[in-house]
Amino acid sequence: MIVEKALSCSIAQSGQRLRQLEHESTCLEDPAIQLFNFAGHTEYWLPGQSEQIVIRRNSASQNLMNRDNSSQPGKRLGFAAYLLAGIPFFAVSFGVFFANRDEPVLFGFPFLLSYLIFWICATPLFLWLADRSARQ
Amino acid sequence: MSSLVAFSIVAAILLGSIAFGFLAVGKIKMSPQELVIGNRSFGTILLCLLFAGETITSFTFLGAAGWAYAKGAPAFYILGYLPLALIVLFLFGPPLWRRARKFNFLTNADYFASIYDSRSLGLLVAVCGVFFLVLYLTVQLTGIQILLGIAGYGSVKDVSAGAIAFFLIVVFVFLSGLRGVAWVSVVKDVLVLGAIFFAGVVIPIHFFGSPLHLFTKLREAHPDWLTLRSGTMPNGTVWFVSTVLVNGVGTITWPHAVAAIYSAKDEASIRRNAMLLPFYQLILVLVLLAGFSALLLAPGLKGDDADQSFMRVVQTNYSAWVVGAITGAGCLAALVPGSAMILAAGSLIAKNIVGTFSQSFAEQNQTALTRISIVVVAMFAFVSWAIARTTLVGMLLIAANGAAQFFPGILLSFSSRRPSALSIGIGLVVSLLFLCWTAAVKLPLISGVNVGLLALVLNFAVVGLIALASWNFERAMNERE
Repeated sequence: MIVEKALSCSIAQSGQRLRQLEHESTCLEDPAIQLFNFAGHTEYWLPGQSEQIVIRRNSASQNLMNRDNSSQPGKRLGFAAYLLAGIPFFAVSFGVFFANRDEPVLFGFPFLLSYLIFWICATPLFLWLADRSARQ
Repeated sequence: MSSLVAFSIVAAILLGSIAFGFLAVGKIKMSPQELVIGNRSFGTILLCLLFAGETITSFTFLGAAGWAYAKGAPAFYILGYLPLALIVLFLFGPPLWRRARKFNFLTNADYFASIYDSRSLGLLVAVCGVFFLVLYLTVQLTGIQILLGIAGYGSVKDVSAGAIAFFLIVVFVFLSGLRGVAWVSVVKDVLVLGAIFFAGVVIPIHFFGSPLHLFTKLREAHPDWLTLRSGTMPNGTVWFVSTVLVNGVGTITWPHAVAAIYSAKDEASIRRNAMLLPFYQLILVLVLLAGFSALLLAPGLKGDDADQSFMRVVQTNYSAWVVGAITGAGCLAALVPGSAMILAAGSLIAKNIVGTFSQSFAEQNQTALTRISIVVVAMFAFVSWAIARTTLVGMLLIAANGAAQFFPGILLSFSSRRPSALSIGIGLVVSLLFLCWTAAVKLPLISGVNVGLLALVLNFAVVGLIALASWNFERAMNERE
């Protein structure tokens, strides 16, 4: 079988090292011992090598379909998080249509400027809430 | 005499911060991962410094004040697009990082090549990315040239001072990589904060009594300066919203910004970084105040000279020490993002352009090849800037709006049904051709809307149409079978 792309290995190794191992595995008289194989992902044990090697047969895009988000714990943002992050997003962009005015003047600042400063300060709050909503 | 004092301070600041960067990095063995993305090990603080270093550039430093000076309220867009960029970073940075770590991506072109499973798409993204980065580098070079011109009190006519500053930074990037850039950001941030505080607080208090009196005076002199023009007029509200949107999206899709995302240690660092950075951006309000002060103190600068506005005020009213310190801070604000851009462009050339034609050669000599590419990119940017400065200015909008055209490819890569590489590639090419056309006929607005946003809409439309057509075609073929 032709190894199309070798993208990672179990112990952090440089790509060059991995290719060398791959080459060895094809040249060895007794072939590498296959440990297990699932969803386009094979682990080998090479005689004479202390580490196990993981060789991905599939390209990253195929791999994504099979294993994305399932193998690694990552925070999933829910609808609430997108909504919370969307509020400052639309306020800073489309809200400007309504905030484009000089008055009321706040500490000398024109309203448009105070409005933008307010939303710069409020953005972290909304992002923090979005982060919290994802954690729960 | 004063130019000598100013120049010695600038030189001391540059050399001192580079030495600081070297010491901070220490003797880390340089692999491509370490050089280009800091081995994916940056925590929240280093990441914040890096992002602050990349987003607050000399363009923000000089350009924001220049816009406030020359145009007034349209300059507020700088306050608008950075929060948007951070919201986009908050939402899409972590999943991007997760995939990058899983598949060991080094550049944004790696992402496109692997996720869409097409090395040609990776090559296209890399070529466009290098082109944009070189153009953006020339902006930073222009910033350095303006600042050194101020510090030279009229004695600097040619580009030699800028050349020396640029040469220093290339050597620095060559040796210490992205980690060094992040650490130099510490010095840069401290100095830039000091400089901006001086320009935005000390100058208004000195000349107007308080920043608030500044606005009172400004309203008397320029009553229409603090609000946008309505609707579809040039620099009106429609322009403002479209510019904020396209820049907000585009800031994160620059190749060097993607490299900064990759450099994070974990997803939480990226999120915390997005939550903290808006506070840092508040200092830009002070830059705007500096521009407004300059308008009242030194009116009459036209065109590109407006970018020098508040530096001229500093130059005529304060001693050479102050000029030197602010110039040094400004130069760092150009050189820190500049070095991140050089690194990103170098890695794109080494990994995605050379790598497409000879993979084994590129992978075996990756560190050396990246370093050579860094030097080549830097030389190329400098020479093209020195020869054709005016032509490049006209092409800048292509780069600024062009970087945003990577966004559809990144956004749609998270959808449950990814479009094909072909559709993403055609969308990118069509939108870039559109941008080139608008630059050629000098058309920055179409009925008030920033052409960058129109190009982005066009991009999405093309990708969507091709994807729909190909899915229907596939279904028809399946049914026939």
